[in-house]
Amino acid sequence: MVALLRPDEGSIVKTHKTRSVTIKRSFRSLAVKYALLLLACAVVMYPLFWMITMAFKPFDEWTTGSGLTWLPQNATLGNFEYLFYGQTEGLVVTLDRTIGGPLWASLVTSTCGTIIAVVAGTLSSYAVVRFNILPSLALSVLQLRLFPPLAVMIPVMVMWAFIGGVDTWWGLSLIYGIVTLPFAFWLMKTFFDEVPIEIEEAARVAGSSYWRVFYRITLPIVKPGLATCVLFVFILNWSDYLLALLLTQKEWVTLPVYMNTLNTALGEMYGMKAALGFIAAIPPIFLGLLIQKHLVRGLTFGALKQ
Amino acid sequence: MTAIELRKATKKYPGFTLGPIDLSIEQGEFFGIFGPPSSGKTSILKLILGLLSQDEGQVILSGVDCKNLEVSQRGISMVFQNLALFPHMTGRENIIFPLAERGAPEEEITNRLDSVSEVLHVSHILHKNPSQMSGGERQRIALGRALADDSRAILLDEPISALDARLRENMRVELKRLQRTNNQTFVYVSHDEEEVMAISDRVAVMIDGQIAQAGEPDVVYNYPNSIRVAEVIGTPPMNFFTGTFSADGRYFECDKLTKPIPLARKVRPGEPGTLGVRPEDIHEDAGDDSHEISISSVEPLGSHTIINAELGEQLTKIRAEGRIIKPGDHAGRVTFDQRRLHLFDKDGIRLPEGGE
Repeated sequence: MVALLRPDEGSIVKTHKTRSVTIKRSFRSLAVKYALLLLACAVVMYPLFWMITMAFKPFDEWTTGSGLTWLPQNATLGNFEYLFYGQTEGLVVTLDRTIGGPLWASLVTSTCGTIIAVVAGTLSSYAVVRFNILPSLALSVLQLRLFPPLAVMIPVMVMWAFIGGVDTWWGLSLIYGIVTLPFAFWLMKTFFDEVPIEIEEAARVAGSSYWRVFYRITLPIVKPGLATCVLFVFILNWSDYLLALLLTQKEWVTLPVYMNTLNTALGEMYGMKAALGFIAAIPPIFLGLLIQKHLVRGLTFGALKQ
Repeated sequence: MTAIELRKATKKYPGFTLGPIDLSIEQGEFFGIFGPPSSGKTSILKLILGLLSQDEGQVILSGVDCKNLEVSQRGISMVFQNLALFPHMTGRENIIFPLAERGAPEEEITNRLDSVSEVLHVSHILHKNPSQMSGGERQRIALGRALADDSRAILLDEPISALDARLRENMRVELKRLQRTNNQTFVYVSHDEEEVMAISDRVAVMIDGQIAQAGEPDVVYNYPNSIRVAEVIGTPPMNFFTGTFSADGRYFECDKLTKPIPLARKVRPGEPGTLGVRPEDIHEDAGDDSHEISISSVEPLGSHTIINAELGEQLTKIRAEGRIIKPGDHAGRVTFDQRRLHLFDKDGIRLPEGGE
């Protein structure tokens, strides 16, 4: 949201300027602007709102087709209880598998996959940008994204079965790292491209080795970019469904796949799914808040000249 | 002692070759390198620093061949054109960076920082980040970073070109003062001819990757060794007339001029050549030998006035006294200062002084 709001702050300031010229017109354009903003907000926020309220509604409030309410009439933590403990009051069906395992699996694989992609992507894009090592890497790394994922998934499944990586934390982390590597590579490449070579040369003249130049000078300069990269890649991994579906069976099932198991004899468990969605939204938001300071700068990095 | 020496240093680029450069810069000298944009000035600096490696020839620092010397071992500092301050560090961290990188003891770092910030008057901005500083302040920090590192020479690549005119003039004086106080070797590169001429003990004029002429500024100005050098040194530029030396060698004849120009000495009878005359050496004079000019515009600059005029059929720039502020103030006739004519042969090489 922060990122969404920033550019508009700028344009509001701009509108204030025009206002002094023609008050009437600028007022209208301001009104239109706010109306559009509100609309955009509503489009983004409404499903979130629906999910959150749904997560706190008791069973009978989301099972009845009629009588749907905006806010839960009898707010309850029952849905969460059901997810974590497998049963809750008023529900006869018990849950075979509680959320704990999948939550842990998602956290572990997404984090490891992000580390792999960001570390490999950062180092390789720096090598390409600064030392012109394997310049063709820039395009060939895109190859990973040229196929529809399903087309390559069967061979990947075979390979992963061969190396024993199916339904393991490292198997899934590895494929996450590989699949998101192009994003990390290209994102970091645009940031490294922006760093003037003279800054690195200045450091070398001052006595730094190549490696020290990289981590004392370049990396701190692209820190906002790195933060952006980490968040993007993490969200990609976190929300993956297909890879986890095909490469896990039981032990390391992740949250998106797990959500699918919430169909019981009673039908769709909307309340539980909403609760699950609510829980699943927390880690990326938390990560976003953690690096928010850098994020805003990272997203506008290209616009800023030295 | 020679601080920096280049021997036949050559660097080949696709479509451009730098060198072979022969250059020798003395310890404690303020050496200027002047050249039009993309004439290879920065490349020379990078060769000296080791950021570029020469294809042929040698770079010798204090008598030591630097072939296998890393950039960090050469002991040379540089002020980059865009300053290249580290944006994520404060002024203080920027200045002490070279010292810290070399693992200097804390005490030495403090001492150097103190002395540098005193000389450059930057004590009050040491806590700021480069983005919070003005252009002049950044300039000082960049200089400070180069000065703090006690190096054998400091290379400056158009360090003040980004500043406004007034500040530039101040910095020019200050740079010279700094260099003199520290008795340090400075290599100063700029495409601003006036700046280089004003500040340097010796200058090298670079054209198309070659050093066209090197020497003291007044020598280069008064005795440019070729038309190419004469063209780029001096503002407004020298006026050129192509023609032939008369049969007796006492006059220079040019089709575009109504009468021949008398020469102070006998020169290459009958040969084609070029005569150059600086704007300030064309004097207002209504005498018999004078040439008529038709003035097309006048640029009064206070201390002097630049007149754009047709001399014969050629557009000529004349530097006249400041009292002339409109075309009517000038007599409309001029003569060339005989002692200050520049004569070049048909290849554009300066003819030797003295008669033949």
